[in-house]
Amino acid sequence: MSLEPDSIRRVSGFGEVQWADGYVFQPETIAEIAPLFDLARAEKRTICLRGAGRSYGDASIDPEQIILDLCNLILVLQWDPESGVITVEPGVTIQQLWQRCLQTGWWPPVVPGTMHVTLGGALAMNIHGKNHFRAGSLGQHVLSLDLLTPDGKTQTISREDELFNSIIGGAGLLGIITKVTLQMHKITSGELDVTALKTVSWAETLAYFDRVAAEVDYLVGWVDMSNPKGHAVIHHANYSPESHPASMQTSAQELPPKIFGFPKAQLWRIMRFVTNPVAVKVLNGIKFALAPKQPKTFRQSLVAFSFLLDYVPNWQKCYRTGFLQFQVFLPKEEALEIFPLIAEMQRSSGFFAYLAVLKRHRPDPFTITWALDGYSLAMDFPVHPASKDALIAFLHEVTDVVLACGGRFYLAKDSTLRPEDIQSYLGQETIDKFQGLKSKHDPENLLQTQLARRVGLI
Amino acid sequence: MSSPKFSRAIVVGASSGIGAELVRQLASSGTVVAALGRRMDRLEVLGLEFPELIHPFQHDVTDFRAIPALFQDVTLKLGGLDAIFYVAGVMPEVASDEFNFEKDLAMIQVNDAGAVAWLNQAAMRFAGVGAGTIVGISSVAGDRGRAGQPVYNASKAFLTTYLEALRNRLIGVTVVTIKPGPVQSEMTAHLPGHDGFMPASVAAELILRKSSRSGEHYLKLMHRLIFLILRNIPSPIFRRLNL
Ligand SMILES: Cc1cc2nc3c(=O)[nH]c(=O)nc-3n(C[C@H](O)[C@H](O)[C@H](O)COP(=O)(O)OP(=O)(O)OC[C@H]3O[C@@H](n4cnc5c(N)ncnc54)[C@H](O)[C@@H]3O)c2cc1C
Ligand SMILES: NC(=O)c1ccc[n+]([C@@H]2O[C@H](COP(=O)([O-])OP(=O)(O)OC[C@H]3O[C@@H](n4cnc5c(N)ncnc54)[C@H](OP(=O)(O)O)[C@@H]3O)[C@@H](O)[C@H]2O)c1
Repeated sequence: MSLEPDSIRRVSGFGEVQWADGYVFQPETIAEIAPLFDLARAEKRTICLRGAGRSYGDASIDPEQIILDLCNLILVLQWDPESGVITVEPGVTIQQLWQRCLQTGWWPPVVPGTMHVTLGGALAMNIHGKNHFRAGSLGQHVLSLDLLTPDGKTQTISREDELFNSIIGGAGLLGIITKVTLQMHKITSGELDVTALKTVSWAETLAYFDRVAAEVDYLVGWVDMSNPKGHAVIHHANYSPESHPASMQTSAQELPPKIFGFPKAQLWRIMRFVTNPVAVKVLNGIKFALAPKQPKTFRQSLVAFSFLLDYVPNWQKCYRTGFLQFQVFLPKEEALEIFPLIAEMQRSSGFFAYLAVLKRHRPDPFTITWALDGYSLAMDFPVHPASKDALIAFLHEVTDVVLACGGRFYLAKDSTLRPEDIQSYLGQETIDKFQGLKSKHDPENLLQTQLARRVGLI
Repeated sequence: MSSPKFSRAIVVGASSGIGAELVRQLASSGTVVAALGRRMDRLEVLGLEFPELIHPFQHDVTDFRAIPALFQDVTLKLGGLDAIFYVAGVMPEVASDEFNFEKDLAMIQVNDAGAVAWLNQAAMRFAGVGAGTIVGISSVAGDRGRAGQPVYNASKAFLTTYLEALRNRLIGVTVVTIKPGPVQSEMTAHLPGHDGFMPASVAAELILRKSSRSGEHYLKLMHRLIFLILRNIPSPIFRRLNL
């Protein structure tokens, strides 16, 4: 085996701001992975694990290195519709998972805003959904996993093993997740009872979140960052308690092929025209105006509610020169003071987030974690080459504010964190512990990513 | 037209003349450059001008078998590749009645075989990523076969045709053929009128500017016009003109 020049491909983060050219390998079987360790040694390269490349920044890219793309490992190895326990290869996506299990009354316990992520990638980042405050993160539903380390050995790790909590969220640095056994969530209907309403201030939004959190399964807010008061539209949802098998057919869940008469595959081309500051402000205003003042409840399919962003394929191309996603996690005591401050910093800097999504969270036991008892706001900032450096400097200012109040960050969404930032929120002891595991399981440092080096995780 | 911005580039044939000027100008605009040639001492001195940005590599382009591995080492060192400039070339003095196979072979090996060995690597890579810029320094000399330099002319015609074919083959890749007229350099130092030739720094500046657009480029409008005519003169007439 050798590094072939015609295997070089450009791989990028979802935000299309960061990219790298690397030697891409796409094994069709797990057995094809181990020889790559020897190839890396012989060629003095490192290996960057990659799932579907849905992380926004540089989590699954590394220039001139071996890019080990695990997307073709898509076998479902075991599925028990009685217990809802499923065992899969790491390239299986959230889409494959729900399509396989829904008809028998099971839904993934945690899903991100897109169904096109692999389980390997989702666990390496420990993804959360709009139900995090209630259901925890995806890693908390894993019963066991197989880890292939650079010595060529595979070990099965269960949740009791100490290593488990460092592999989940471990950013693909301790080994390759080659098998995952996951507990699915039981449902009786493929629909949710969704409630929508609008709030006019940060105080009202956060108070509403806290009031309903104990009663709802899903909770999410959309915040208009161009509005000085903090206008928001909240959606919360509960699994429908009725038995409704028809809604659990895959066909009942399909996203519409057309939206307002446009073929959705082409919609981003049209949306491109409104992806500019003036239009976004106008559209934000319209969106808020149209939202119901009093809570309004309706039924929606699980897919339609969960994967809103998949309605418009390639929507990221609306940002002509890419965008940065920046998700801040704030302790609940600080949120009411700091969110409006961040919004104010945006208005006075001129950089404002075109999209901002609010979620509620709780702590978790993982080593490299973003989780805390509080809220997160995920923001999309358009990037223009001329002002990119200034935008990054601005986000560093926001980072300092977030860290000063005990906040955290999420590597899957990150492009700007510096080593001192993750040191600040993880603590040196945690980093030392992680690096200790790294030198034990990957002493030659064969598994690397651009992100891991940038933030000083390795 | 302004010069395109490259983050990382390779210049093959960088130790003197046009190549050295390209390295200098690329580095001064912030490009990380790998500078290749046989005369390492020259490359090292050049590297001192921008120690952070210029990486010298000793290399003889006729060492064809070493090129694939070296190409990988160089791109690893650079951390990627946006553009490659193939500048290496030789034009030994050839008397008007001389048929010297050694000199001819040297031109074919450096001007052509070396170019193919390097640019094939770049082509494979750029085809895979769907981006990149390939620049070959050919010459106006390749436009016609003339009495004075049969193999030099033919070697540059080869390069021009090879680059044209790459341009037609590669999607998303910018392939640029540069056809300079006389330029001041070691290669031309012995020629009459050398002092009136275009300075190498000016040639390099023009080459960088023209590297943004696929196609064949002369460096002077006058050359474009003259060679348009010369290229189209039928061979029997061209022969009588004795140019
Ligand atoms: C539109 C959109 C919405 C999103 N919404 C959410 C959300 O609501 N909540 C949320 O938490 N995230 C969200 N994300 C982020 C996304 O869920 C994560 O970035 C996830 O990690 C992407 O998975 P992936 O398969 O694309 O992996 P990649 O992005 O390719 O890789 C992620 C990490 O996993 C590592 N890795 C990949 N495979 C393996 C393996 N088999 N073993 C070990 N390590 C591996 C990689 O090295 C890398 O560090 C969203 C992303 C998008 C594009
Ligand atoms: N000057 C002109 O009038 C003119 C006109 C049209 C086209 N050109 C073309 O422009 C290019 C540059 O020429 P120049 O005028 O700048 O001449 P130059 O100063 O002699 O430069 C030639 C370069 O090619 C390199 N080279 C030659 N043989 C090599 C080998 N075997 N391996 C590696 N590198 C080798 C030389 O480096 P080392 O000797 O250190 O190896 C040197 O860096 C040539 O292709 C030439 O044909 C020149």
